[in-house]
Amino acid sequence: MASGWTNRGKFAMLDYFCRGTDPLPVSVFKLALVKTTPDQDDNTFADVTEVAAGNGYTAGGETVNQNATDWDVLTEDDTNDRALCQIKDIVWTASGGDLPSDSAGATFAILTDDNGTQSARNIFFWWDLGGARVVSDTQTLTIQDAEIRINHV
Amino acid sequence: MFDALSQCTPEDRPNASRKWYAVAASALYPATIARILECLDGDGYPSELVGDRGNIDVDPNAAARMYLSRARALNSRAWRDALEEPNPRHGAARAAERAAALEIARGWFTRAIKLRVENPGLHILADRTYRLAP
Repeated sequence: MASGWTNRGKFAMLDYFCRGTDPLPVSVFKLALVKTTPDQDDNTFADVTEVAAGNGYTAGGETVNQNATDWDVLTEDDTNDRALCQIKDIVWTASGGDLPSDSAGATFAILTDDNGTQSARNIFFWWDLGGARVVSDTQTLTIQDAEIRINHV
Repeated sequence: MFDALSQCTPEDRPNASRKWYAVAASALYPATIARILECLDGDGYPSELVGDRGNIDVDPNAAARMYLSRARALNSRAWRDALEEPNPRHGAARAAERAAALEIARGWFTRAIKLRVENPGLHILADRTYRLAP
Protein backbone atom coordinates (compact mmCIF):
# COMPACT_ATOMS: atom_id res chain seq x y z
CA MET A 1 0.00 0.00 0.00
CA ALA A 2 1.70 3.19 -1.17
CA SER A 3 1.67 5.85 1.48
CA GLY A 4 3.40 9.00 2.58
CA TRP A 5 3.74 11.89 4.95
CA THR A 6 2.55 15.32 4.05
CA ASN A 7 5.00 18.07 4.86
CA ARG A 8 2.50 19.31 7.43
CA GLY A 9 2.69 15.90 9.04
CA LYS A 10 6.49 15.95 9.14
CA PHE A 11 6.41 19.40 10.65
CA ALA A 12 3.84 18.46 13.31
CA MET A 13 5.80 15.39 14.32
CA LEU A 14 9.08 17.28 14.68
CA ASP A 15 7.41 20.18 16.43
CA TYR A 16 5.97 17.78 18.95
CA PHE A 17 9.11 15.67 19.36
CA CYS A 18 11.70 18.44 19.46
CA ARG A 19 9.82 21.33 20.96
CA GLY A 20 7.19 19.63 23.07
CA THR A 21 4.44 21.60 21.38
CA ASP A 22 1.81 22.95 23.72
CA PRO A 23 -0.97 22.38 22.91
CA LEU A 24 -0.18 19.09 21.25
CA PRO A 25 -0.68 19.14 17.50
CA VAL A 26 -3.28 16.43 17.97
CA SER A 27 -4.81 14.33 20.71
CA VAL A 28 -7.43 12.62 18.57
CA PHE A 29 -6.85 11.66 14.96
CA LYS A 30 -9.38 11.06 12.24
CA LEU A 31 -9.03 8.59 9.40
CA ALA A 32 -11.05 9.84 6.44
CA LEU A 33 -11.70 8.62 2.90
CA VAL A 34 -11.06 10.91 -0.05
CA LYS A 35 -11.46 10.63 -3.80
CA THR A 36 -8.68 12.95 -4.91
CA THR A 37 -4.97 12.21 -4.84
CA PRO A 38 -3.21 13.82 -1.90
CA ASP A 39 0.44 14.79 -2.09
CA GLN A 40 3.08 15.99 0.32
CA ASP A 41 2.12 19.62 -0.19
CA ASP A 42 -1.50 19.15 0.85
CA ASN A 43 -1.87 20.80 4.23
CA THR A 44 -5.51 20.73 5.19
CA PHE A 45 -8.75 18.98 4.44
CA ALA A 46 -9.65 21.88 2.17
CA ASP A 47 -6.94 20.63 -0.22
CA VAL A 48 -8.65 17.29 -0.89
CA THR A 49 -12.15 16.07 -1.72
CA GLU A 50 -13.79 13.73 0.73
CA VAL A 51 -16.08 10.94 -0.39
CA ALA A 52 -19.82 11.55 -0.07
CA ALA A 53 -21.21 11.15 3.42
CA GLY A 54 -24.12 8.86 4.20
CA ASN A 55 -24.90 5.14 4.03
CA GLY A 56 -22.46 4.43 6.86
CA TYR A 57 -19.80 7.03 6.21
CA THR A 58 -19.69 10.10 8.48
CA ALA A 59 -18.06 13.26 7.14
CA GLY A 60 -14.59 13.69 8.62
CA GLY A 61 -13.96 9.99 9.06
CA GLU A 62 -13.45 7.65 12.00
CA THR A 63 -11.68 8.41 15.25
CA VAL A 64 -8.20 7.07 15.97
CA ASN A 65 -7.15 7.85 19.50
CA GLN A 66 -3.61 8.74 20.46
CA ASN A 67 -2.88 5.61 22.46
CA ALA A 68 -1.40 2.14 22.26
CA THR A 69 -4.78 0.54 21.64
CA ASP A 70 -5.58 2.42 18.46
CA TRP A 71 -1.92 2.45 17.31
CA ASP A 72 -1.70 -1.20 18.00
CA VAL A 73 1.75 -2.25 16.76
CA LEU A 74 5.01 -0.39 16.93
CA THR A 75 7.98 -1.74 14.98
CA GLU A 76 11.65 -0.83 15.23
CA ASP A 77 13.25 -2.21 12.08
CA ASP A 78 17.05 -2.34 12.19
CA THR A 79 17.20 -4.26 8.92
CA ASN A 80 15.69 -1.37 6.99
CA ASP A 81 16.63 1.48 9.34
CA ARG A 82 13.12 2.71 10.05
CA ALA A 83 10.31 2.69 12.56
CA LEU A 84 6.66 1.99 11.85
CA CYS A 85 3.42 2.42 13.74
CA GLN A 86 0.29 0.56 12.72
CA ILE A 87 -3.33 1.65 13.16
CA LYS A 88 -6.01 -0.71 14.40
CA ASP A 89 -8.49 -2.00 11.84
CA ILE A 90 -10.95 0.69 10.77
CA VAL A 91 -14.27 -0.52 9.34
CA TRP A 92 -17.09 1.20 7.53
CA THR A 93 -20.27 -0.80 6.88
CA ALA A 94 -22.51 0.29 4.03
CA SER A 95 -26.07 0.79 5.21
CA GLY A 96 -28.99 1.71 2.99
CA GLY A 97 -27.02 1.67 -0.27
CA ASP A 98 -23.55 2.07 -1.66
CA LEU A 99 -20.73 3.50 0.41
CA PRO A 100 -19.75 6.13 -0.69
CA SER A 101 -23.35 7.09 -1.22
CA ASP A 102 -22.76 8.64 -4.66
CA SER A 103 -20.81 5.55 -5.76
CA ALA A 104 -17.73 7.70 -6.50
CA GLY A 105 -15.13 5.45 -4.94
CA ALA A 106 -12.64 6.20 -2.19
CA THR A 107 -9.12 6.21 -3.63
CA PHE A 108 -7.09 7.34 -0.62
CA ALA A 109 -7.34 7.40 3.16
CA ILE A 110 -5.92 10.36 5.04
CA LEU A 111 -4.95 10.88 8.67
CA THR A 112 -5.95 14.25 10.10
CA ASP A 113 -6.47 15.98 13.41
CA ASP A 114 -9.98 16.52 14.75
CA ASN A 115 -10.26 20.29 14.48
CA GLY A 116 -13.90 21.33 14.89
CA THR A 117 -13.73 23.05 11.54
CA GLN A 118 -13.27 20.12 9.22
CA SER A 119 -11.83 22.10 6.33
CA ALA A 120 -9.07 23.35 8.65
CA ARG A 121 -7.96 19.92 9.79
CA ASN A 122 -4.31 19.22 9.11
CA ILE A 123 -3.49 16.25 6.91
CA PHE A 124 -0.56 14.28 8.34
CA PHE A 125 -0.37 11.11 6.28
CA TRP A 126 -2.05 9.40 3.34
CA TRP A 127 -2.52 5.85 2.04
CA ASP A 128 -3.32 4.77 -1.51
CA LEU A 129 -6.24 2.33 -1.49
CA GLY A 130 -5.16 0.84 -4.82
CA GLY A 131 -8.24 1.85 -6.77
CA ALA A 132 -11.66 3.42 -6.37
CA ARG A 133 -13.33 1.55 -3.52
CA VAL A 134 -17.11 1.26 -3.36
CA VAL A 135 -18.98 -1.30 -1.26
CA SER A 136 -22.63 -2.29 -1.58
CA ASP A 137 -25.28 -2.23 1.11
CA THR A 138 -24.24 -4.37 4.15
CA GLN A 139 -20.70 -4.87 2.83
CA THR A 140 -17.71 -3.52 4.72
CA LEU A 141 -14.80 -1.36 3.69
CA THR A 142 -11.90 -2.07 6.00
CA ILE A 143 -8.54 -0.37 6.35
CA GLN A 144 -6.20 -3.00 7.80
CA ASP A 145 -2.62 -2.78 8.97
CA ALA A 146 -2.17 0.78 7.71
CA GLU A 147 1.22 2.04 8.83
CA ILE A 148 2.99 5.31 9.16
CA ARG A 149 6.76 5.12 8.98
CA ILE A 150 9.90 7.12 9.47
CA ASN A 151 12.77 6.24 7.15
CA HIS A 152 15.98 8.13 7.31
CA VAL A 153 19.53 6.87 7.05
CA MET B 1 0.02 -23.77 12.51
CA PHE B 2 2.56 -21.06 11.81
CA ASP B 3 3.66 -19.62 15.17
CA ALA B 4 5.25 -16.22 14.61
CA LEU B 5 5.70 -15.69 18.32
CA SER B 6 8.00 -18.69 18.56
CA GLN B 7 10.47 -16.84 16.31
CA CYS B 8 10.64 -13.97 18.80
CA THR B 9 12.41 -13.34 22.08
CA PRO B 10 10.88 -11.08 24.74
CA GLU B 11 12.86 -7.85 24.92
CA ASP B 12 13.13 -5.92 28.15
CA ARG B 13 12.56 -2.20 27.70
CA PRO B 14 12.38 -0.18 30.90
CA ASN B 15 9.19 1.86 31.22
CA ALA B 16 7.79 0.42 28.01
CA SER B 17 4.03 0.68 27.62
CA ARG B 18 4.00 -2.40 25.39
CA LYS B 19 5.38 -5.90 25.43
CA TRP B 20 8.39 -5.88 23.15
CA TYR B 21 9.67 -8.79 21.12
CA ALA B 22 12.91 -9.05 19.19
CA VAL B 23 13.12 -11.15 16.05
CA ALA B 24 16.06 -11.87 13.77
CA ALA B 25 15.35 -10.96 10.18
CA SER B 26 16.93 -14.29 9.27
CA ALA B 27 14.16 -15.99 11.21
CA LEU B 28 11.27 -13.71 10.27
CA TYR B 29 11.61 -13.64 6.50
CA PRO B 30 12.52 -17.24 5.60
CA ALA B 31 9.93 -18.72 7.95
CA THR B 32 7.17 -16.38 6.86
CA ILE B 33 7.93 -16.71 3.16
CA ALA B 34 7.90 -20.49 3.50
CA ARG B 35 4.52 -20.21 5.18
CA ILE B 36 3.18 -17.86 2.49
CA LEU B 37 4.26 -20.23 -0.28
CA GLU B 38 2.64 -23.10 1.59
CA CYS B 39 -0.62 -21.15 1.81
CA LEU B 40 -0.51 -20.16 -1.85
CA ASP B 41 -0.40 -23.84 -2.71
CA GLY B 42 -3.28 -24.72 -0.41
CA ASP B 43 -6.89 -23.88 0.22
CA GLY B 44 -8.51 -21.86 2.95
CA TYR B 45 -7.17 -19.05 5.04
CA PRO B 46 -3.97 -19.09 7.11
CA SER B 47 -5.25 -19.59 10.62
CA GLU B 48 -2.63 -17.29 12.14
CA LEU B 49 -4.20 -14.34 10.30
CA VAL B 50 -7.81 -15.12 11.16
CA GLY B 51 -9.36 -13.08 13.94
CA ASP B 52 -10.95 -9.77 14.76
CA ARG B 53 -9.31 -8.85 18.09
CA GLY B 54 -12.75 -8.42 19.59
CA ASN B 55 -14.00 -5.91 17.02
CA ILE B 56 -17.26 -7.42 15.81
CA ASP B 57 -17.33 -5.12 12.79
CA VAL B 58 -14.17 -6.70 11.41
CA ASP B 59 -14.54 -9.67 9.09
CA PRO B 60 -12.16 -12.14 10.78
CA ASN B 61 -10.99 -13.41 7.38
CA ALA B 62 -10.40 -9.97 5.85
CA ALA B 63 -6.72 -9.69 6.71
CA ALA B 64 -5.99 -13.22 5.54
CA ARG B 65 -7.77 -12.47 2.28
CA MET B 66 -5.83 -9.23 1.84
CA TYR B 67 -2.41 -10.80 2.42
CA LEU B 68 -3.17 -13.81 0.23
CA SER B 69 -4.35 -11.54 -2.55
CA ARG B 70 -1.19 -9.45 -2.38
CA ALA B 71 0.98 -12.55 -2.25
CA ARG B 72 -0.75 -14.11 -5.26
CA ALA B 73 0.00 -11.00 -7.28
CA LEU B 74 3.74 -11.73 -7.12
CA ASN B 75 5.63 -14.25 -9.21
CA SER B 76 7.80 -17.01 -7.79
CA ARG B 77 10.99 -15.15 -8.70
CA ALA B 78 10.07 -12.36 -6.29
CA TRP B 79 9.84 -14.82 -3.42
CA ARG B 80 13.18 -16.39 -4.35
CA ASP B 81 14.81 -12.99 -4.68
CA ALA B 82 13.44 -11.97 -1.28
CA LEU B 83 15.60 -14.61 0.38
CA GLU B 84 18.80 -13.24 -1.13
CA GLU B 85 20.62 -9.94 -0.76
CA PRO B 86 19.35 -7.14 -2.97
CA ASN B 87 21.14 -7.34 -6.30
CA PRO B 88 22.01 -3.95 -7.82
CA ARG B 89 22.17 -5.59 -11.26
CA HIS B 90 18.48 -6.42 -11.17
CA GLY B 91 16.24 -3.91 -12.87
CA ALA B 92 13.90 -1.59 -11.03
CA ALA B 93 10.82 -3.73 -11.67
CA ARG B 94 12.46 -6.89 -10.31
CA ALA B 95 13.80 -5.00 -7.28
CA ALA B 96 10.32 -3.62 -6.59
CA GLU B 97 8.81 -7.10 -6.72
CA ARG B 98 11.43 -8.38 -4.30
CA ALA B 99 10.71 -5.47 -1.94
CA ALA B 100 6.98 -6.11 -2.20
CA ALA B 101 7.53 -9.74 -1.23
CA LEU B 102 9.55 -8.71 1.83
CA GLU B 103 6.90 -6.18 2.88
CA ILE B 104 4.10 -8.71 2.52
CA ALA B 105 6.09 -11.15 4.64
CA ARG B 106 6.73 -8.54 7.33
CA GLY B 107 3.07 -7.52 7.34
CA TRP B 108 1.95 -11.16 7.55
CA PHE B 109 4.31 -11.81 10.46
CA THR B 110 3.27 -8.62 12.26
CA ARG B 111 -0.41 -9.42 11.85
CA ALA B 112 0.16 -12.90 13.27
CA ILE B 113 1.93 -11.40 16.28
CA LYS B 114 -0.74 -8.83 16.99
CA LEU B 115 -3.44 -11.47 16.95
CA ARG B 116 -1.53 -13.25 19.73
CA VAL B 117 -0.30 -10.30 21.81
CA GLU B 118 -2.15 -7.14 22.71
CA ASN B 119 -0.54 -3.98 21.27
CA PRO B 120 2.96 -5.40 20.85
CA GLY B 121 6.26 -3.78 20.00
CA LEU B 122 8.36 -5.62 17.44
CA HIS B 123 12.10 -5.17 17.09
CA ILE B 124 13.46 -6.56 13.81
CA LEU B 125 17.20 -7.04 14.18
CA ALA B 126 19.68 -5.88 11.56
CA ASP B 127 20.49 -8.14 8.63
CA ARG B 128 21.58 -6.76 5.28
CA THR B 129 20.30 -9.77 3.37
CA TYR B 130 16.73 -8.68 3.89
CA ARG B 131 17.06 -4.99 3.15
CA LEU B 132 14.46 -3.66 0.75
CA ALA B 133 17.19 -2.00 -1.31
CA PRO B 134 21.01 -2.17 -1.40
